[in-house]
Parts: sequence; C-alpha cells; structure tokens
Amino acid sequence: MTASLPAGATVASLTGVSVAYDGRLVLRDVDVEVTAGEVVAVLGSNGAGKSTLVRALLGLTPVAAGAVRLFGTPLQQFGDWGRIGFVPQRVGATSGVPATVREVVAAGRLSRQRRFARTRPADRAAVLDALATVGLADRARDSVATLSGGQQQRVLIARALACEPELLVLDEPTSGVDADNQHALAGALGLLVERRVTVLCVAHELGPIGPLLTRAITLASGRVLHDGAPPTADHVHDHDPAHAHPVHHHLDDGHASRAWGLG
Amino acid sequence: MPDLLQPDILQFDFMRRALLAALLVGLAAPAVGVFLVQKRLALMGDGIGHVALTGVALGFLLGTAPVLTAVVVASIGAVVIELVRQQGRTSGDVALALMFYGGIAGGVLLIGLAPGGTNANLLSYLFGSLTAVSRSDVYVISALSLLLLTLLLAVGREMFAVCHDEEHARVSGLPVRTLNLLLAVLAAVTVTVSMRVVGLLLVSALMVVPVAAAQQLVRGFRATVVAALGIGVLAAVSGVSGSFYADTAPGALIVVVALGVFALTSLTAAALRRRRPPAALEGLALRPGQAG
Repeated sequence: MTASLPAGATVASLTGVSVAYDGRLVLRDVDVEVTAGEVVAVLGSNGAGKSTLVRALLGLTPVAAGAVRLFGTPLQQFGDWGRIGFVPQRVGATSGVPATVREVVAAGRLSRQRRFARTRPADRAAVLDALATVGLADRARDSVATLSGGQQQRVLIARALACEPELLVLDEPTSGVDADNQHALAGALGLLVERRVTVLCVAHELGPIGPLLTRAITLASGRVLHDGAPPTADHVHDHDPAHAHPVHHHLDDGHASRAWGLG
Repeated sequence: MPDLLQPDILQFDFMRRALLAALLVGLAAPAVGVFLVQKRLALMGDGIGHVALTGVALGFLLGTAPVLTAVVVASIGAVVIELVRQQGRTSGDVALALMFYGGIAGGVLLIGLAPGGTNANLLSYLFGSLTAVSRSDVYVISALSLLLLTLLLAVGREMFAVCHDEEHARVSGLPVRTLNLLLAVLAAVTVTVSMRVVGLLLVSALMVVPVAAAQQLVRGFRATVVAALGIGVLAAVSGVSGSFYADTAPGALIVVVALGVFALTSLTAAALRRRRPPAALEGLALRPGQAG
C-alpha cells in the first residue's frame, strides 16, 4: 500500500456542505478536512449525520450546498477511485447467490483494473494480501455465508483494502460485531496506520479502535460540535467535548498485536 | 444425453430447430438469471414476461414479427422497471404491479383488435410450442443469445460487483447505472428469446430455478454460474425432447425437470449438512437457512 502523499496534504474536504433528505436538513454547513496520515473518527448519536457526512464525501448522497473535494479534485471530476477503499454500512457480506470470500474481496480490486483486462498476478497478490491483513487468508475459498457476522465485516474490510487505498472510509464497521472481531478489526486498522493509510471511520462507539485515533469529529443535529483530539475510551459514550482530551499513544503496538492474535 | 436424444426426433426439421433453440435458451436464461437472483430480483423476469405479451400482440396488430416487437416493448418495460427501482420509493412495488397487469391486459386487448386475432394466437407465446420455432426464429435466437453470453462474459466481473453491493461498486468507480440498465435489457432479451420455447409465463422459471438448484451444492459465484448453465441446458433440452414424445407444451416439462433437479440438489445438500460434524457449522448456526 503506497502513501505517495506528503504528510499534511489534504486527502478529503467538505466545505460548507449541507445535505437534505426530503427537505429536511441532515447536514448543515459542515466544514471538514482530512489530511494524509490522519486517523479520524466521526462520532455522534443516531441521526447526527455521521453516515451522511461520509456518503456526501463519496458522492453516494447528493449535496444541497457546498463543495466536496477528494485528493484536491472536485468530486464531480474525481475518477481515481482506486485511491479510496470503502466499507459501507451493511449487514453481512452475502447476496442472493453464494460467493466465496475471495470472490467478494476481488470485487474491491476492480477500481485498480482496466475494464475487460485480464486479472494480473499483481491483482491476485493484492487480494490475498488484503485477506491476510484481516486474518482471513485461510477462509479464501469458503462461502461468505458460512462466516459469522463479524468475520463477514472483516471480508468487507478486506474488499476495501484490495485496491491498496490511500484513504480508507469505514461506515460503522464495528456495529453488531462481537468483541473478538472488533479486536481483529482494530488489529487490521493498526497495520494500515503503520502503512500510513489515511482513515476516516464513522463509529457509534469506538471500542478497540479508540487508541488508533489521531482526531475525532463529533456531530450533533447535522453540525460539527467538536473537531480535535479524540476522546479516551472511557468517555466515548458521552459525546461531550468537555470530556475529550488528547490521547498520546495513538498507536498502541502491544494492543494491536494482541488483537492480531485473535484473528 | 444420448438416451434423451433418440435419433428419430432429429429427423424432423422443427425438432432440430427446437433443440438448438433449447440449448441456447438453456444457457442464456440462467446466465442472466444468476445476476437477478444475486440482486434479489428473482421475479423481474416474470414482470418482463407480462410486459412482453403486449409486444407480441402489437406484432400481430402491426403485421410485423411478434418477436421483434416483443424485444422492443419488453426492453422498454425492463428499463422502466429498473428506473423505478433506482428511485427506491416504497411505491415502486405498486408501480411494478401496475406494469405487470398492464402488460397482460394490453396484450389481450391488442390481440382482440388485430385483424383475425384471437387469444389462441397468444397461447403458444404463453406456454411455448415445439412447432413454433421457425427458421428465422432460430437465427434471431442464436444471434441474440450469443451476443448476450458474450456481453456477460465481458462484463461479468463488474456485473458481479454491482449486483453484490451497488454502493461499493459506485465508490469503485464502476458505471453502476449503465450496468443496471444493461442487465435489465439483457433480461428483456432473454425473456423474448426464450418465449418461443419456454413460454412467457414460465420463462422466469428457467432464469431462476437452475440458479436456485445450483447454489445448493456450491460455495462460490463462478461455480454457481457453471452449474446453473449445465442445469439450464439439461432442463431445456430434455424438456423439449420429452415433450415431443409426451405431446405436451415444452415449457411445462422444462420447468418440471428444473424443479426436479432443484429437489434433488436441495435434498443432497440437506443430507450433506447432516453428515458434517457440528464443529464445521460454526458460522452457519448464526444464519440458519441462509442460501447465499
């Protein structure tokens, strides 16, 4: 995974963005900027606009006002989607027809492949590497339907990693995931942070990914309530900026490797 | 296969045409159907079949080939269904129902207006007919099925990604809208290509049942496709051959054979699950009955 951008370069930005669903504003005049190498959480209660923020950033939800840029390019003109890995908010990795773990993860490689081109050895290697990163290399040939909910979530993360992204966007990756899989997920994120991948993660509760964060954005009623140092794990449920204070050990190696063992 | 294809049925021109058509339809219908099932739109082929009936009747009314008008009308119908689906409104369900009933009513109404037309003209289109496959039908069916299979082979990877997770596919930069519309049109083409053999009312079964049968026994998407095409060809060819001897409409026998294969594979799958030790069922316990 390459992080060609210098630290501090703007990876993604929303400027004065408002989003409306059926005439109701769910994001109001939001300014957010994510720079290379940051690990940013988007926090807030249900309905605060967390998911809408990342959906607007990725063009999945039209904006009513404001400007969105990815890697310095306005969203409408952006076409370099291989630089972005996305883990949508989704229950399970199954569809109406069985698919192997490897088939699902390989779909994440398409953004780096030319249309109608044959799959190259580099593409296969990237898919296997992504599976290894989430600790599911030994399940590559299994049907995703035979995996637990938490393992399926890790399959979706591997799919996002298959394009070797510079920016990884995750929408509530830990919701409904058991503790073991949350630790495995945090372990995978820890490896990415080491590779200098920029991470933007929507979360209802932080759990084991808390120590990885360099910054947190808290939303309330579609506005940015707080943007700065991440809260400590103890106070994450409060969503109260008064409780937030800096976490210095933003990559706890011991923690990450312990989590890795649980994969 | 040699048991099913007694040499005597190949002595008849109409049977040779019907068997060639069955072979192509047996490949094309599950090839498109697998993506519809993946998107959980298994009944879309049924809806398109209803709309195609209006196209068939329009052909009689205008004095042109019903297959051609059916392709056009079914494609328009399929695109409208897809656009309604993309809107994602809850009323989309009702909108689809209106189209299905409109398709049948339009067909019956238009055939009544056609000079000398009666509902009997529609019957062979509704249930399929061995003698109905003309030489020009074979050309149309061959050209369209080969085009369809080539297209799916070319965009299969991308189509899999879109049907598996549309939002992820959009963030991967795939032309999601175009692929969705392509699938809708391919489904319409499949319906019209298959209607001479299977019939409009049963064509959706040939798109869906082989896929349902295949996925009982395999773990992956590619394996499902290969198995579904095999089951589709088996059902179509043996159904057409059998209906020659039994003197029945081929569509019904094709679907009965496909359902028979489904019963066999699901029983086999159930037996295999019972024999496997519980430790191997780790993940399955969370999602009982999940087919895929």
